[in-house]
Amino acid sequence: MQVSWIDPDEIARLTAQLEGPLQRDEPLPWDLDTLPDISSQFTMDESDSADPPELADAIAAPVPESMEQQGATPAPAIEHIREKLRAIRNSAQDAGLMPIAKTATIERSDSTAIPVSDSPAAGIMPSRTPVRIPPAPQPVTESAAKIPDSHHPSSTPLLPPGSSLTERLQCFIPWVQSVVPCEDILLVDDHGDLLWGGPSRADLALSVVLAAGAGLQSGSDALTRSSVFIRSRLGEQKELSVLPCPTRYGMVTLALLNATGLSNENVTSLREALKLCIDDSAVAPAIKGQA
Amino acid sequence: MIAVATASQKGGVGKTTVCINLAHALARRGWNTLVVDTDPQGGIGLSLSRSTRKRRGFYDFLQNGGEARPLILPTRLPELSIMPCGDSASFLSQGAKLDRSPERLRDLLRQLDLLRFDCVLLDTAAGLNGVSEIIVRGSEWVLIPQQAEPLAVRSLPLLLETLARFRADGTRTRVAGILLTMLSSQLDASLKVAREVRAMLPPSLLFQQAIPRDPLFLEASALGLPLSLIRKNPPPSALLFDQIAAELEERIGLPAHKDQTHRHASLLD
Repeated sequence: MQVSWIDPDEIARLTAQLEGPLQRDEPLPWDLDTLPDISSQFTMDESDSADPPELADAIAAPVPESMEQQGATPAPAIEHIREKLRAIRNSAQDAGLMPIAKTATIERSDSTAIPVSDSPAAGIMPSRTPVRIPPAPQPVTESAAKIPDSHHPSSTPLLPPGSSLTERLQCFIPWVQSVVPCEDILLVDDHGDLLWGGPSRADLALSVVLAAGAGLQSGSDALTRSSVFIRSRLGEQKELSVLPCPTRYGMVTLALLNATGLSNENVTSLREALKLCIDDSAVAPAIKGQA
Repeated sequence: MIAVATASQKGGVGKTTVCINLAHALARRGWNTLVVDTDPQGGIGLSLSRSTRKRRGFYDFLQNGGEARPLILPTRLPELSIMPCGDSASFLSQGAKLDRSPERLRDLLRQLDLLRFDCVLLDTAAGLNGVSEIIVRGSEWVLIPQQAEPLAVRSLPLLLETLARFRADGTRTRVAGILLTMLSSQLDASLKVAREVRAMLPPSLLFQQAIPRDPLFLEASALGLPLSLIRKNPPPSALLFDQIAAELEERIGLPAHKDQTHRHASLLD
């Protein structure tokens, strides 16, 4: 007589389930191994498009409706992951396991620091192929710039709410021209890709990247402060004014060719407007503007 | 590091006794072992020391998070450490907000891994709900002490069904094995239970060794010691735990896991 009262068939079925493969291959939430890599975050919460168009093909393409509807607000889950990554990064930096990002030492006129290390590591448009840019005509010379308080910006640009980055840049660039008259305007992202500026200006992009990179790596966070910029001489006739700006997509650099009338106030305004333009855009498609 | 939780539907089947003696055996075999007392009754602490009741421990971590290291008590055996239960009453009386507990448990296990423990045994309260469910779900392996008595063994299908449900919804916990406890060679019913269980379960789910009902366990708990320490020459029941420890090592892949993370130089090199 059986004393356990157990049905052997039931036990056989249950043991088969216990020893069989997992029916759902879902890991536990917030497992560190499952955190998305940092580059995938941007495709996750900003755009579901497969790949960003390459620079040569980039045009101000209409934004797919699904992207528009998504908006720019990251999902709580993504925010949670970011918080965790931020905490991990801070702990690693505190423990000396990770270097703290350094920025340029440069003459400055205000004291509001924006640490570069707080900006996301990836750029707006991780391109599949590196942009080939011919070398700059002359070696870049950087100099710190102390600027007069002469020219005052009119106002902030009128940026359509909920619009795409393309649309916002199309409003932003003319506004920059109105605030600081200049020969040309370029916008370069973290990867050195041109967000604004024709292909003929690709050589300038290299100068912009070199100037911003050299400044950012030279040991101070001053460069990203609101009223500080780099001035790079490109020969006798040309001068680039370079304003790196930390955005939530990484460092975006605004470069003005032969700008006149830069002042503390309008540099601050340019940076704030650029940050607003980038950070609040609904999506971040590749664009090629006509400067 | 490998985390092994104990689980049983029924109380009084010997989970705490298994944990203490198995952990001691693992530690004597060289594994850096920690016993975490997650049973609100605090059986681990009560079994080993009269001073652990007021110590901070597992439930304090579950409630507040923070650093795990200060909650760990060393023992005279360097490879064996204890994390007592802590203030379970406070945790449970405040409505036991369990929503953060899985995350806290993962944090705890990560910290213990960084503290270079090879094996963590988590002694749970009876039943597979609440904190015990979280612990079983959060561990890599579950060890099931099963009392070799008719009434106790009748809850086995329910336990297996619960574990199968966990697995069905994605929990990765695997069954290290069912360990028969309190086997009485004097009682026909107990022997019948053991025979029936062995006939029904595949060897992969059932430990070869079983733990006999032995009055020495009572003596050991009175002294606050693992069984193998109550005499200068350990009793036979104590040696069984060495065999069970060796079997557990193989079942959960402890040597292979250790080899992956810690390679020794050759003796001649």
